[in-house]
Amino acid sequence: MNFNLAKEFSENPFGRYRSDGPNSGEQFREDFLKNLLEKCKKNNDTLHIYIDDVPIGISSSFLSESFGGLVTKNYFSADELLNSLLTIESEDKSYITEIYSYIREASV
Amino acid sequence: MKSKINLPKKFSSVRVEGRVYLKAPKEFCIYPTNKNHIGCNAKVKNTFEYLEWVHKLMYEYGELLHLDFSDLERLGSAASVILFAEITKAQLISEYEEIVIFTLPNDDSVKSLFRKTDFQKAISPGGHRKLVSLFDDNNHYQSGTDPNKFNVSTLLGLTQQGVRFAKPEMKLFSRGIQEAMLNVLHHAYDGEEELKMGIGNRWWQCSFYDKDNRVLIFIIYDSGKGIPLSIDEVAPTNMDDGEKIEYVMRSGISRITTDAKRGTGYEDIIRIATISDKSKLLVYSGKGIYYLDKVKKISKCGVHQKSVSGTLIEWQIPYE
Repeated sequence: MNFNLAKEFSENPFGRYRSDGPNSGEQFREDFLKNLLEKCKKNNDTLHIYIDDVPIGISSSFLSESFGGLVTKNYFSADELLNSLLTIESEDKSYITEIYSYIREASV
Repeated sequence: MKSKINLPKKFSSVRVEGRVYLKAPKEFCIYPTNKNHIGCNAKVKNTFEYLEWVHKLMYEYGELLHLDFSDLERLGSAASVILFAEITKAQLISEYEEIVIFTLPNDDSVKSLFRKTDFQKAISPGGHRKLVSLFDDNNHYQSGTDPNKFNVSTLLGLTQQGVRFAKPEMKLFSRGIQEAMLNVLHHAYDGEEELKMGIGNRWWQCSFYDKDNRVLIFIIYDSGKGIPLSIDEVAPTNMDDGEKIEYVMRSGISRITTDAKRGTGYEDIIRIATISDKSKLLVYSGKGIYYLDKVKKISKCGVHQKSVSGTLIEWQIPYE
């Protein structure tokens, strides 16, 4: 399953909590990411998230709350996310490394 | 009794028509003169003393002020943001729009700078409506409490000046801006209800593209508890304020607290300084100062005699 962050969530993903604004990491995780990953898990599918259409930088707060939060909230384990359930697609490899590190760190 | 205040002779201070008159120093600037020794010098000391008197007279003595910039020869951006904060904060808390009036500089080039950079409008009499107007006009100087709104506005304002944020290095810059604003919201006033009374989780900012020098400038200041105090529990006890800032900036506070969520933003803040070899980062917090100049390979910390009463972060990033 493919998901384009800019086109299907927001061109301006911003902030950690819902209280930070309308396009926060918490909102993305709770209203989109969790449900999409549950569907993928049920269908033995992988969720491919494309992030390069976001025209500005995506902050650490948004990324750690969205992706690390999947593990800290016990929705998924870091292993199942990293092994088969989730891939991040970006030409900027630093984003991919960073997001995966938030998932790993959340499991410690 | 107001007459009991010993007004500072250093700033030619007298009481005139119900206001305390304060003559600003010729150099109103807190930038270190010598980057190898970033502690206090006479120029910086004078500026901090002036800012301290502005604060003390309004908040401790409830005075109305007349700030005289007629002899001003140099206005530093960082100091201007702190003064913008002191004035607008007093306007908001007192709900008296004319709590501070001022005389413009005599020097034409400095007077022109007041207008060109929007500083004159930023410190003019006003209240909430003035701040809304600064926002609506994409003024260089702005103040707010809503990072989502101001993040978009700041990036839009710089875009209108020709900056393109699609470039990878500019994405890093926008990440730093977002995190700096979020840090104010989440941490700057954490547990300090008195500090945010009447202003909320407020910050003051100045952002512009200096076309002549091809440099992007972004300055953000909050009047919260400051980095040194906020990391007191986890920083080694023998560190001074400057060393504490350096400790946070170098190690990333997320690695020195037990809360993994805290301080990921500092990583974005320091990362901006890696955008280019000519990037500069300057942080003032409490009595500490931290300076990073990639081209000169200088990373220094020091302390001042006076506190900035919060945290000020400034980036200077080359943009071709």
